[in-house]
Amino acid sequence: MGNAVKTVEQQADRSLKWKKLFSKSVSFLGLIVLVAFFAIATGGQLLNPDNLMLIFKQGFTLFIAALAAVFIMATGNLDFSIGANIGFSCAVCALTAKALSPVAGVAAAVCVGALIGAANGVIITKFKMPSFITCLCMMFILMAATQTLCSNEGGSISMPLSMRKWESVGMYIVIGAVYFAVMLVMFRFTKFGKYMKALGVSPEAARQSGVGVNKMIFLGYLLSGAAAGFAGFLTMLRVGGASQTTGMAMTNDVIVAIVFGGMSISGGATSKISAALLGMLIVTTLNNGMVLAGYGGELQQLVKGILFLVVIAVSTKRDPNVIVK
Amino acid sequence: MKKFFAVLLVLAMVLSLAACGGNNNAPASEPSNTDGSANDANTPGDSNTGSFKYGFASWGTADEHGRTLNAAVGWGVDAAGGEFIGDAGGFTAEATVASIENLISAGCQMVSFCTYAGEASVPTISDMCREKGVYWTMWDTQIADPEIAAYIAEDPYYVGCTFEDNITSGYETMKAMGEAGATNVVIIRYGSGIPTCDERCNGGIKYAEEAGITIVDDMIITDTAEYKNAVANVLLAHSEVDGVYLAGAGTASSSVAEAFRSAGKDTFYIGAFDYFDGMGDMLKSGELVCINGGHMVTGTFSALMAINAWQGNPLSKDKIEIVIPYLTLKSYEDYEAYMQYASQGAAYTSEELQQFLTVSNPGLTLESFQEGVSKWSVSDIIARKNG
Amino acid sequence: MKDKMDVKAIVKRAACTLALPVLLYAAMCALRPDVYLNGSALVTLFKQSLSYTLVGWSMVFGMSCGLFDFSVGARYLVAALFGIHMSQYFGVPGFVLGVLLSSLLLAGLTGAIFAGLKIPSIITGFAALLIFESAAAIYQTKFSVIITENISIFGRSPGIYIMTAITFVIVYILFNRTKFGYQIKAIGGNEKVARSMGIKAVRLKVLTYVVGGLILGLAALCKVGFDQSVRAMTNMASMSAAFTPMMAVMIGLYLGSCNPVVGVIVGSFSISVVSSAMVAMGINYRLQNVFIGVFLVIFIGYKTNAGRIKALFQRKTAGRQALGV
Repeated sequence: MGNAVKTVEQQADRSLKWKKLFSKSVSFLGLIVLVAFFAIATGGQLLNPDNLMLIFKQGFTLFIAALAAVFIMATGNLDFSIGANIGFSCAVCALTAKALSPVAGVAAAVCVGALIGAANGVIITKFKMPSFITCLCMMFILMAATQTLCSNEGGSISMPLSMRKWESVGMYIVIGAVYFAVMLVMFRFTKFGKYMKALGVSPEAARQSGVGVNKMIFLGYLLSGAAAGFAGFLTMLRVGGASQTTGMAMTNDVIVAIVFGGMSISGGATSKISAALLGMLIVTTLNNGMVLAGYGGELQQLVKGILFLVVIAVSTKRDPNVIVK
Repeated sequence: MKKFFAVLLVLAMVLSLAACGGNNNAPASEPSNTDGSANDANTPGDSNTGSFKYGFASWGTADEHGRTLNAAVGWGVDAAGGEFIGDAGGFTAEATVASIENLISAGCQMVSFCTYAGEASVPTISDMCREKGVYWTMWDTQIADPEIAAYIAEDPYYVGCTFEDNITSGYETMKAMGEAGATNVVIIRYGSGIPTCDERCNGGIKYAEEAGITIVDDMIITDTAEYKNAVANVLLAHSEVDGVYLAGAGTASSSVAEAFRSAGKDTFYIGAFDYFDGMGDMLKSGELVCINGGHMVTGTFSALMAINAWQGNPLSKDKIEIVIPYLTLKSYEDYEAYMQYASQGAAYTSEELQQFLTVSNPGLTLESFQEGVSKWSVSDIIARKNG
Repeated sequence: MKDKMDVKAIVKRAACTLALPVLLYAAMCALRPDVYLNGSALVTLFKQSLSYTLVGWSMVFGMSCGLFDFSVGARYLVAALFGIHMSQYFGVPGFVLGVLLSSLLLAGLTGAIFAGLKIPSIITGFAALLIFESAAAIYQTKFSVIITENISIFGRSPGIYIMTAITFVIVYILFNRTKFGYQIKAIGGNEKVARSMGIKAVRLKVLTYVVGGLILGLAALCKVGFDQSVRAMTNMASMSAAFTPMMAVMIGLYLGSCNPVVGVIVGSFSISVVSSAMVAMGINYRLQNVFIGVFLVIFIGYKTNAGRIKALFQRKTAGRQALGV
């Protein structure tokens, strides 16, 4: 009798382990399925080496922005101003690069992005504004600012032609590897990363444990802003300049990518930095694969939206005791 | 950490799969001049025959103009025996660049795009096409930046561009409004720093200055849902306004008309660009004085230019600029004629479009190409249909 | 004595409620007396504000219990397009039923996703926005969008006033005179306590989506005729359509001196006055969202920190008194 009970318990344990493993690996499995699907649908074009390099290059800016956004999402917040920040930083970068020097342009982009992030952080922490209202308002302000800067320059701002040579595969690999390593260490092995996750579990418990809640939230937005500024520079490099609509779709893609990558919506202890990399690969493969397979633009957004829901449905833990708003 | 290495392993697996098996399936990597399926080995001036893929990047197909534009490009590509591949990436410059990259990756030998998101991305796209040996054109575009124009002039794969005479059309539109009775007009632009929009407005302002029409306000509104409230607010502040000049987003004409009616005005004059559903009724009632559209053929002729170049029969050694006229409708009769003869692909048959290809029409020159394109008015179309 | 105090309290509350729009309008009268010092200007601005009010009422239920739904704009687009399409076959009844039923269905679907997946409402709204926006864009390619005279009656005088009055009565009764209204306010106040009192929070939240969908349907009937144009958007552009009504609701909820249902009217009218003021002063229209955003940040910031500001002034006054200044 005892043995029978043990066997049932063991089976239940195994079943739970498989469920946990599936839930943790759903994004990774999703990427494999996606690659397989589009490899077949495009007759192998997806797996062409040139096309794979293209996927990497197309997703790089998203990767930079999403990695930093993970810190904010770990606290259970979202930053809706990321895309607008990228656009504005891109415009500032192009203007500064033309007026002063390319290096000054890069510095300006990162500084401006960080300032914007800092402004978000101050308004949210000092004035106790709801974060999404603050970020939404910031988004509209930055969009208007970008449009003003670009329209003063005839609609778009081209980068100095000498900067064309900056873009190379080596640059992407080096920047990507170093940046990912730094973010990984910060998120997993430093107090800063641990505190961000603690805020996602319970801000009050974190506060009682001695975590400077306001300071951490401020730093999170500062980091996200600086990353958006750098992403603005990279966008300028990739596209050749800034325009009035630069970055508009990026907020959408960052949030979708992080969710596709398996990060929990409400943040917390299960947040993972690898979600940014995995999510970037999924989103860019999806965008690229759909064009290669002949599917139109509006359909891309529909597919992304449905997959977004499916991933959340499969990967989100549902705790009946947690109040969801 | 485990997941990170697992992802790396997946990438390694995928890359090795691609290295082993990708070459057989990817047309872009196979040099061939016989079936026209490759672009890597193209050198400018090469003669290519057979089937081809033509890539077209646009903002989308949800609106009337986007829809008809994509369809119109399809007419030209079908007539030439190719395959049309469209990507509606959206309104941003990075979406345009990504669209072109994806279209080239999909095996397109020619691509075409517009600079609605700004000209800054043009040198980037030029570099891309040059690297891959892909011919490219621009539609609805004329480069204003001299540095960029000089840059792309050096690109042997850049064929040329098509654009509308926006200044003349803007002038004529304001003239139609003035002749109908407009004296105090508000200009509404759909964006700022957009050359097409600015040229249309410059043309309109020129006539207004000559004819003594007062430009009461010059607004930039990017969201068509806001047009009605904007016009209502202008009418509050300036009750003398009796006309609205829409530099684009013709679909907002009905909202603008509603704003006038809500303000108690029965007589008003709207001039607009870009066709929309419901324009027939507005032309009939006289609320809409003049509407310019039908410029979806800008995509058709940019495609035919590129196809000629790819087939080894460029229309000119120099970069080509083709002016596309608008189909201007000023009455309900014009609208009926447009619907009968020019909408839904009725404007050109395949045989008529093939006359714009040197392979079908050996006597074709740049001048005869432009002359043929210029015969784009309702009366020209009727004359062509009636033989 | 008690009656006198009641009247005093009512007058005080009315004054606090009307202070914002009255001050704004008075400022406009001072700047442009030729335009605003007449009844027709007041009527025009009020009528303009009705479309924000109607959509805002559809959001007040959800926002009262802490839910934020960005998909309102996208759901409106689908419902409006479907209604217009049905009107081409079945006239006005087809339009009315098409709009109401599709709005209810989409709202119910969004609510079901929220409840079923147990994800935050912002994320639910985001996913729904992606899906419904692209659905509207794809749907619009299938037919001609022609808004005929007969379906425009709901957006013109006197139809729009009648619809607004009917909607006001429905919303006011539901929000203030039903168990549903009391319970959602209880949830908004303190959900834990509300649950422990036996309130079925999840079911009620889904109901707020459904009721909001019905009100949005009524709003769509008016908006189609009022705007005379419906155009599908992608890349989160429909969020800006939800932004202004959402801000009106936030003003309404934060006002505190009146019922939120009335507060939405106050908020919408205030925003309309600000928009009109910008046109009258020749300010670039692109800055409208910037001004509304900044105005909102200041307003909510003041309301959220009113206690701290008051305490600061009290400390300063006490300090001066102590010094004998």
